[in-house]
Amino acid sequence: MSKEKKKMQISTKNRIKDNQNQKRDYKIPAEIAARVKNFNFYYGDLRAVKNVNLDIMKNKITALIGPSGCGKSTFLRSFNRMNDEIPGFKYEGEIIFDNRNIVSKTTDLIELRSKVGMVFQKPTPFPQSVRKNIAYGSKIRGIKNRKQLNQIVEFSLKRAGLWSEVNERLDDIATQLSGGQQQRLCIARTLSVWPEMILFDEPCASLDPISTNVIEDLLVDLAKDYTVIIATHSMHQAARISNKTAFMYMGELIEYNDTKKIFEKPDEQLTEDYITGRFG
Amino acid sequence: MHIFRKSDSKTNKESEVVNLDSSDDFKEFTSKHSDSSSLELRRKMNRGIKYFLMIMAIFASLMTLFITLYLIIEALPVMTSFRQIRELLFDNNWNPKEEHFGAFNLLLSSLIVTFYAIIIAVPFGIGIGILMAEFLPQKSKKIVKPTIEIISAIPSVIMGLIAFRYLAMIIQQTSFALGLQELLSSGRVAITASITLAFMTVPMIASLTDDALSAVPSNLKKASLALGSSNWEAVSKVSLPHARSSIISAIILAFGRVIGETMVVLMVVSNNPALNKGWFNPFQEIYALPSAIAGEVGDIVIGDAQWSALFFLGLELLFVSLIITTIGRNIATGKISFKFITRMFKKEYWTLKENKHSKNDGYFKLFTMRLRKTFTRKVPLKENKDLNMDTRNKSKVKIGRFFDDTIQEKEETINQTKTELRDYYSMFRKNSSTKKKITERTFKIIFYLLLGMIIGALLIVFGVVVYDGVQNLWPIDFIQGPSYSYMQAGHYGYLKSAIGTIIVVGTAALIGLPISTFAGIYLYFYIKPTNRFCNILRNGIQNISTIPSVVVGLFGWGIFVNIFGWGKSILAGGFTLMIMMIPIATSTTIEALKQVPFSMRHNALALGSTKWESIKDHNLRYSFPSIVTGYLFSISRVIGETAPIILTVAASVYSPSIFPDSLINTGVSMLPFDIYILGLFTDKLYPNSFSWAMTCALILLLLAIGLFIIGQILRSKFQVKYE
Repeated sequence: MSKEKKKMQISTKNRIKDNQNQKRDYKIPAEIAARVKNFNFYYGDLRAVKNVNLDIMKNKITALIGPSGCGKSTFLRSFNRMNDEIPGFKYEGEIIFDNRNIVSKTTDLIELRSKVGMVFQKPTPFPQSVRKNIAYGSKIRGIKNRKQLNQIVEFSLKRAGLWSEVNERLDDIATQLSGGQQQRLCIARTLSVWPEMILFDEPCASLDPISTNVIEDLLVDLAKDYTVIIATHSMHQAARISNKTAFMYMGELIEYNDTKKIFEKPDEQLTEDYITGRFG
Repeated sequence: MHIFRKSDSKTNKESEVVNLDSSDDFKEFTSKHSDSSSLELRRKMNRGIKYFLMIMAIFASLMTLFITLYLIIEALPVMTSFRQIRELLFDNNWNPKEEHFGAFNLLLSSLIVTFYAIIIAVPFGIGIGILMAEFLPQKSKKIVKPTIEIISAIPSVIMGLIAFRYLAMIIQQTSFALGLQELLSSGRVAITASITLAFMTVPMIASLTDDALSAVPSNLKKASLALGSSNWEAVSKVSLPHARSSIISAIILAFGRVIGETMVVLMVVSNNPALNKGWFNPFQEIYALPSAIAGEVGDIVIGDAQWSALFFLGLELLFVSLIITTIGRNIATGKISFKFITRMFKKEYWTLKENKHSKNDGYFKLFTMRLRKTFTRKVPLKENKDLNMDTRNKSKVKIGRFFDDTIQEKEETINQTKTELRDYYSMFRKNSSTKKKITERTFKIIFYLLLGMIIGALLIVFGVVVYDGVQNLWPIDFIQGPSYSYMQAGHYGYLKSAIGTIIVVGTAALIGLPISTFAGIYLYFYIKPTNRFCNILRNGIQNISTIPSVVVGLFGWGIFVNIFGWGKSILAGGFTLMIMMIPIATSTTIEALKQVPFSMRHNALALGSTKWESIKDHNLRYSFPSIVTGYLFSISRVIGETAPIILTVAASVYSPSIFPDSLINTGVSMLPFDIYILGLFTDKLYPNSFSWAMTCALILLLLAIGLFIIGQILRSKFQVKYE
C-alpha cells in the first residue's frame, strides 16, 4: 500500500508540475494562434518532421505546401494530435496553443480536439441523416434540447454555405449528397462545435474544379472567425487563398513567409525550384 | 427553425433555448458548453469501459488455459510415475476393467481415420477452391460458395447417422459383390468414417484455398498471361506456387479439425482397439480417442483410475490438435517454411555445393545461376534444331555485316529476319496452343466433376433426411421425448427436444455472445496489433476453437456437472456451449467491425468525442447488422454440437410438461442427443426409431441452416453504405 501511495504522490506531483509549466512558460502574443518550437515527430524510427519552428497567425490562412511525403500532413495532424492513432508515434519539442504545450502527455485530447477541428482529404459524412451528422458533435457534449440542436444545425449549415441547398433534405442520408456538398457538410460539422482553429488536410484533392472553387471561397470567409491551416498539393490553391505559406521538404521546414513573398521572390533556391516546377 | 415539429410540445418543457443568430452568439454559447461538468464523466466512462472490455477479453482468452489446467489436475493420478505415462502413451492394451490403460492404439486409430479423410478431401477441396477462385464466373461463384459452405453447417451427428445407416451398408455390399469379404467383412470400418469426414472437410479446404488464391496479387497472373500462357498455366505455375504455403496450412488446419471430430467415428465405426490388420490399414475396425472419451464417460466412478485416464486422453487429444493447428497457422504466416526441403530435392542445390562457391556469393548469385540453368534447360531447342540453327546462323552473320550495308540492304535483311523469326515462333504457337487448350479443358472438366460430386452428395444428404424425416413430421404424440418405455409403444415427439435445444443454446448465447462481442471490440480497437499482450489474448481466443468439442464437453462435465454440482442441466450445458461459441462469435465480430472504414472514427475523434463514444456511435452502430449475422452464424454452428451435450445436459426424459422444470439438476431432452440415441437403436427393439431420428435430424437441419440463411439475408438487406 505504502509503495502505491508513494507512486500516487509522485505522479500527482508531476502532474502539478506539468500544469504549472503549462501555465508559467507558454505565453505567446495575442496575434499568434500557435507557436511551434523545435518540433519533431517520429513514426517508430522514422523522423517524419524535423526540427520545425514557426508561428501560426490568428485569423489568417496558413498554407503548408511541398511534394508528397514531405511531412506536411503529419505536421498538420500534430495540431490536434490525430497522429496518436498511428502506432509507434512520438512527439518532441513544443506546439504552444491556448497557453499550453499540446504535444505533452498530459494534454486532454477531447478538449483539444474540440478546440482544433479537422477536415480530412476524403469527404466522410457519417451514413446517417444530414441533421444527425451535424448535431453529433453537440450531442456528445451533452446538449439534448432538440430546438437548440436545430439551431446549431441551421447555423453551422448557413456558415458553411450549404443551408440553401439542403434545408429541405435534412433527413436524407448524407452519403447521397454530391462530393462537394459532402465536404462542405464535413466543414459544417466541424463548425458546429466552434473550434478556434481548423485544419484542412487537402480538402479539395478529390473534388471537381467547381466544388473546389466554392470551398476555397468558403475558406477565405471562414478565416474571419477562425484560424485556418491548410495542407495542399496545389501551389495555385495556396497562392490564391493563403496569407502565409510554409514550404516543407523531406520533413524540414525550408521557408515560411508571406504568400506573396514566397511566390514572387523566395529566399531559398529550393523553394524557387519547387514553385517553378523543377521538381516535385 | 421548425424542424422537429412533432416534438415541439416536449421541447417546450425543457430549458430555455439560446438564439443563435450571429457568430458571436454561437461563440458564447459553445464556450459555455465546453467547460461543462459532463466532460469529466465522459472521461471516466471512457476509462471504465476500457477496463471492462479488457476484463472480458482476458476472461475469454484464459479459457484454453483453464481447460488445460483442469485436465492436467484431473489426469494427475495416472501420471504419477514415468512408467505410467509411458504405458498410457505407448502401450496398446486398452482394457479399463483390468486397469490397463495403453492408449497408443486409440491415438493411432484417430490418426488413421483423419489421415484417410484428409487424403480423400484434399483433391476435392483444392479442386473446388481453384475452380471458385479462378474459373467460375462471378455470378455462379455467388451461388456455389454459400452452397459449399452449407455443408459445414450440417451437424456432424446427422452425417454420422446417415453414414451409419446407408454408407456403411453400401460399402459392405459392394465389397461382398466384388468378392472382397476378406478385406472388408463389415461396413463399419475406418474408411467409412473417413469418407464421411472428408465430405465434411471439403468446404473448409475449398474456402481456404479460394482465399489463398484470391490473395495472390493479380499482377503476377496478368504478367504470366501477357507472356502468352494459358489461364491454367498462369494458375498452376504462378498462382498456386505463390499460394502454396497457405494451401498447405489449410490442409494441416483441416487435419487438426478432423482429429477432434467425435460423433461420426463414434456412430459409424464399431469399436475395436486391437488394430489387427496393421497400422495403416483403413479397412478395419478401430477405436478413436474421442470415441473412447464420449463413449466411456457415462459409466465410470468419479475419481477412480479410469476417470483420470479419460482426462489424460482428453489432454492428449487437446495437445495433438493444438500442436497441429499451431504448425498450420505458422506455415500460413511464413514462420515455418518447407523451402529447405524442396531445395534439397533439386540437383542444383548439390552441384552448387560441390563447386564450392564461397559463402560471400549470397543468395542472389546462387539464384541467378539456378535461374540460368532452368531457363537453358527449358527452351526447346532440340526439337526444331535445323530451323533454329539456320535462322540463328543467318541472322548472326547478317547482323555482323549490318553496319557495312547500304540502307536498302539493311531493310532487306531486317525483313528477311523478321519473316524467318515469325515462321520459327508460329511453329511453337500452333503446337503449344492446342496442347494448352486441351490441358486447360481437362483440368476444368475434372474440377467441375469434383464440384458436381460434392454438390450431388449434399443433395443426397438433404434428400435422405427429408425423405425419411417427413414421414413422422406430424407424430401421434407431438410433445413427448424419447422415453424407452414410451417408445416401445411406438410413440415419439420432437417438440420437447426442439424446445430443450433452443433453451440450452439460448442460454449459451445469452452468456457467450456479449462476452465475445466485448472481447472482439477490445481486441480490434484497444490493442495495437504489434503488442505482445495482444498476441497472447488473440491466440488465447483463437486456440479455443482448436479444442476438440469432446474435450470441452469433458471439461464442462467435470467442472459444471460435478464440481459445481449442477448435475446434467441447462446451466451446465449452456456454459459448456458458451465456451464453444466464444471463438466463433469473437472472430465474426472482429470481421464485422473491420468493414467500417477507420475514417468514420477519425472524424468523430476530430469532433472531440472520446474513444468509446466514437466506437459506440459509429463502428458498432454501422456494423450492427453484420454483428448480428455473426451471432446467428455462431449459434448455427453450436446448435448441432453433440458430444458436449451428451456429457453435460442431454437425457431421455419422460415428463408431462413441455418446458423443463428447473435450470439445474434436471436433464433436458435435446435434438442431437435424440438423433444419436434413436439412430443407434435397432428397429426390432424400438419400431421406427430410425425414421424418428431422421425427423429430429430434419428439424435440427432446418434450425441450423435456417439460422445460417437468415443471417445472410439480414446482412445483405441492412448493410450500411459508406459512399
